Amino acid sequence: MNALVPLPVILPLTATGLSLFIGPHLRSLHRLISITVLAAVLAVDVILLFEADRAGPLTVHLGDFAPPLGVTLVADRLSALMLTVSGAVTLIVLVYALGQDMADREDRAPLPVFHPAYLVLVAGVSCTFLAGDLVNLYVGFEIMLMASFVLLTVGGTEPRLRAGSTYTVVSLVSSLVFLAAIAVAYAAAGTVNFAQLSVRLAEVPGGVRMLIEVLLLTVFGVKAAVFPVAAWLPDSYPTAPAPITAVFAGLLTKVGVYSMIRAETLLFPGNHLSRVLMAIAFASMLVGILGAVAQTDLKRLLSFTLVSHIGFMLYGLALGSRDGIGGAIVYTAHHITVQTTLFLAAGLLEKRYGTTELTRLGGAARTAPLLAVLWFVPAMNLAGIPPLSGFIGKLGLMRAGAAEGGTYAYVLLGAVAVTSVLTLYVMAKVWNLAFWRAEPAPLPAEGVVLEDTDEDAEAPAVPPGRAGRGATPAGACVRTTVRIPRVMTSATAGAVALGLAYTVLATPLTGVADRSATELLARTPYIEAVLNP
Amino acid sequence: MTVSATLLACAVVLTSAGVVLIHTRALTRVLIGIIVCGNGINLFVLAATGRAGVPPLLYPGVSHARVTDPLPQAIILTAVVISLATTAFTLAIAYRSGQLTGSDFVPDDTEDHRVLQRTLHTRRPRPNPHARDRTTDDSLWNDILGTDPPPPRQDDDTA
Repeated sequence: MNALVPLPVILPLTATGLSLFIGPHLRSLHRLISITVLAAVLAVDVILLFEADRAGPLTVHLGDFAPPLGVTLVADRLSALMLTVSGAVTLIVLVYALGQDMADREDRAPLPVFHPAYLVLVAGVSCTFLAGDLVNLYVGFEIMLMASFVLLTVGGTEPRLRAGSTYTVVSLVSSLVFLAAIAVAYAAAGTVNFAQLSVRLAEVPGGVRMLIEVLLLTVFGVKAAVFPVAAWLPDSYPTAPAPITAVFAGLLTKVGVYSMIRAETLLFPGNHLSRVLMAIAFASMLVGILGAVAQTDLKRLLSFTLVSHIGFMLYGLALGSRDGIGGAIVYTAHHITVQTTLFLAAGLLEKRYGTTELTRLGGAARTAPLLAVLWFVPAMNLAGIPPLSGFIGKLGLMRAGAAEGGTYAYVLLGAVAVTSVLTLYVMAKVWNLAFWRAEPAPLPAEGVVLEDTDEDAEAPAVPPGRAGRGATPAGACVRTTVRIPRVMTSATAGAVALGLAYTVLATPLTGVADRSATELLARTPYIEAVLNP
Repeated sequence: MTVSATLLACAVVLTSAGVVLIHTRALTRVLIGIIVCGNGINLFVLAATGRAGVPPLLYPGVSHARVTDPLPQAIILTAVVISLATTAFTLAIAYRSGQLTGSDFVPDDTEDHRVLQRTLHTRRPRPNPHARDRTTDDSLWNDILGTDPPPPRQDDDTA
């Protein structure tokens, strides 16, 4: 069973090679390869989750080097759960992207860059979740970042280049800090293997240990977009195509959260930085959600709610108790799914009406009722309305906070409540502006240029056939109505259903999360599994 | 552990120079800053080796105690390969940006600018005749209750 552990990394990378080898022809073969491989990865992830839950952490020592040497891949409950959720989400987003790809006829690009880049992204995310040492974690981050650079700037338009520049520079700088942290850790402890580090760091002087911890948390904080280092996220995500923003929002920040949980439980037990983390969580929640209140563009608004809800996971981690970390894990799984779904729904809205600017939308509940449902359910899920999984996650976190007690925990509890209410306000605002109020102007027949607010009032005569192709770059003035491909709607519906499934499967989900929190806090199962296989 | 002061001094100088360059607006300068800074950090990783020794080639007769630690070198090699790829990519972005705008300056985000303008009320965007102008009525309740937009004005298309 251990032989399955490297597959989530190896399969997508092999498929990338195949995809590049095939070249620009045989589009359907590309689609077939990508879907098959991601479905296989998801299957492997599910098996790993069951196996890790049954038998404890699974380890593979690549090249059969003895444990502290060489590269170790570890799939414990936390890794396997994150892998499973990310596997499901990446598969759904791929289907959505294929639907959009077919509709936009973007398949005349000289080089098929989407499929290889997307597969590399999946491999990078899996590599990060499975990494058993600091260097491999670094490499996983870099694989993921390289693919995300390409996906973010795909098409090479001006806004995307601007967004891509910011994102690239921030990512590169954080990678440099990561490398410095690895150097300090290696100089202090003489190893980069997590299991061995966790044993040896206990003997490292407190100041040096704190330096390593702060450096690592800074790096992971940049990836996770927590408050003082979150400004890059709302600037760079919204310009990318909808499926790409969706998968970035769902996964890339959570990879940072995962790394924080791993570092704080395995490498630096004892939760010394609890208060610092709580302060950061507090600021992330409030600053993020207040940023969302100020926005009128749907994608930017969602990016700010993303920053704010990262604070919830950080709160669970800062509590440091079994319930707190369990709550953070449940919330991470929930948030990966629901944030992706919201961005997918925003993409549908953009495709249908040509804009995500809330002041220009309206009446979508009447003109596109299915789309309204697909938006409403995940929006209420994000806000945490009782039967949905957002409520389960928030309830877990709040109970853990109340059980912990103390002024800080209660202040944070208040912040969680305020942020939830403001999230509901923001979602209600979007609902009312985009869906519920009467449409700002009569919506025309399908495929017609509705308005053109260029400075010269002369509207360019676009024949209906060309407009129907959806010539709608983000933020453009041309507004068209286009029929949404059924594949995209189905993929979004699948994502909504996955979010609802967490409610149905609440007991197994919280069970796995609690067991993995216990395992993380005990530390010995992980260390034993790696060092004494 | 013995650390070479020369390595550390070089690392500090390179990193500082790189940090200054990263704070500029032109993307090529930022890129040079990242490369210089990255080299500084690589030297820093190399300093983690400790005392220099003989090459880590374990022929018979080579004492293990005198062999230098190969792992930091392996880490640096990985980092160098990765930075090669990222450098190529950033150069491509800078070049494409030069093609499109004539310079490789990274501008401020337009949406940030717009939010700022809306907040300051210094200059409002030209009102859209078909959509409700959100800034006309600042009541939060309009957002929550979703009031209907005013009828479209016709007098705006005279230009």
